[in-house]
Amino acid sequence: MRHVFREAFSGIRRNASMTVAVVITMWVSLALFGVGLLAAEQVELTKGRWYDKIEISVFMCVKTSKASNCEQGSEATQAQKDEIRATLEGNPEVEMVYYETKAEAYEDFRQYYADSPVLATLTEDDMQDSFRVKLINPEEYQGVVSAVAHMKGVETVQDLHTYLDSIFAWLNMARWATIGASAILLIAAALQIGNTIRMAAFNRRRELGIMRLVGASNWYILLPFLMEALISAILGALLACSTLVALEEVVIRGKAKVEIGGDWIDLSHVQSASLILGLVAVVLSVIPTLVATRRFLRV
Amino acid sequence: MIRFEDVSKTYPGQKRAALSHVNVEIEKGEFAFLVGPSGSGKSTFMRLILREYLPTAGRLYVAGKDLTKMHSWKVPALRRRIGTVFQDFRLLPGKTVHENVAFALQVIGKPNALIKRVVPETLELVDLTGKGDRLPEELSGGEQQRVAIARAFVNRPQILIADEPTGNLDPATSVGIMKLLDRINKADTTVIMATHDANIVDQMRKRVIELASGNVVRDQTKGVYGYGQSWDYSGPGRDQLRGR
Repeated sequence: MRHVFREAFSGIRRNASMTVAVVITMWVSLALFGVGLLAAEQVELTKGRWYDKIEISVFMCVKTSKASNCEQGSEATQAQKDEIRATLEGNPEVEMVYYETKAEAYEDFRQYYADSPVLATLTEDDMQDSFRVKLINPEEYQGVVSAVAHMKGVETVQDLHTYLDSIFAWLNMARWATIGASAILLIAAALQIGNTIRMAAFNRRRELGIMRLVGASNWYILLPFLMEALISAILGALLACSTLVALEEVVIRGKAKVEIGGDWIDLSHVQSASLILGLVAVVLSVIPTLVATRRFLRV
Repeated sequence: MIRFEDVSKTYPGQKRAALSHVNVEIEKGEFAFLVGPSGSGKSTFMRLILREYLPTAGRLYVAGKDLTKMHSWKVPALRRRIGTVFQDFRLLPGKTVHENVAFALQVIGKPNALIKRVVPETLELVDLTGKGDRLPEELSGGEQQRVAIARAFVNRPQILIADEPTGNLDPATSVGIMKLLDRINKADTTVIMATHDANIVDQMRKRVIELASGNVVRDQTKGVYGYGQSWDYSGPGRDQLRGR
């Protein structure tokens, strides 16, 4: 074991500039990768927060409704409402249905906009009766929406997904762009490690040849190289993890939480991301090393 | 100790066999010369024993093991029982004589105490006492080859393979090396030596296995180099098949 470390460190010393390059590439690419992972977590968190609050609102026809499901000039009938309620309650995705009358809607509105001049211009009759529907799984809204959207007496079905989904689509794209960019950098890092080790092995080819000749085991020959690659990769990973912690501290805790509020990723997310970074670093250093040294180990 | 049973070897991408249908048995403690022109298969013969390559056909037994069935992870163990010496010595230039010899024991995990004891003993055996601290470049060719022999022998292998060990040495120095190899052989080590040096073969009067185009064309106990005929062994292309 002492031999392994001694050889690994002498390899690192001999190849100092290459090792620095590997560490930096690993650092930047893993940090970027980590940001991508954390962004994904953040999207999930935000999604959960919003989706929990989402209800589907099924608005009933009023006298002035012009929608095709409404009879011109008359409100939705009680029979229509009963049928809509039955449809909603019969849907397996629906957790709870709650009927909100015009009066209740107006009351809500008055409370919410108590200080607003808008209030004065509206009366109870400008409000609509509606079914508020809570779903078991907020992501599975489409079935419910399509089940009632074309029923008689329904003016319109409103759900927030339409807006949120496009926002999340953008966030997702940003996340994938980050992970994609980091993947490219990680490939570069892996190739760099492979080259560094190949060079190190080439420089020591005489020694390796004699080792093989006198019967040194493959592990004995390989381990110093593996160790050399692992040390630089793990150094890069450690720097990347510290970068993530720093980002969490400064950007999330120091700014976003204070200025925007709401649910944000915390250190536990950074921790699990760091674990993944560590694994990626190990894989990306071990595999290129095995490939690079294959030629020198073939018996 | 070593048995070739109908061994053939054809290198990938080549039509002609480097060795074809070779049947040779070399007993424990024997000394055998391997002669023949460049490209006759001497190097292949030795590399097969070291299991650097596998035979294309036939069976090859070394130290009781069938190499054609040996797992590659067992190859290091096989090589620990075989010492190898080359024409170009292959010493590590940055290491002293002592370190070069000790290296062979270190890399197979021998304890330091043993190394401290065995290396000076072996240096004494090859008449290099007192030169342990020299670097290879400070030594003559003959001395360098002695270091290489010490390195090959320090782990007391059962077999010593020497690929033209005197190829780079003048005749007087060569005699010294041959005496050393003979001494090692007398210590019950099987020695196989490939050579182009007719004088040495003729003087030693040991077993001679002659290869031509991959075939064994002569196998004599107490043989001579080639019935008085001499190969143009200093001509071009001599090292072609050695590959390094």
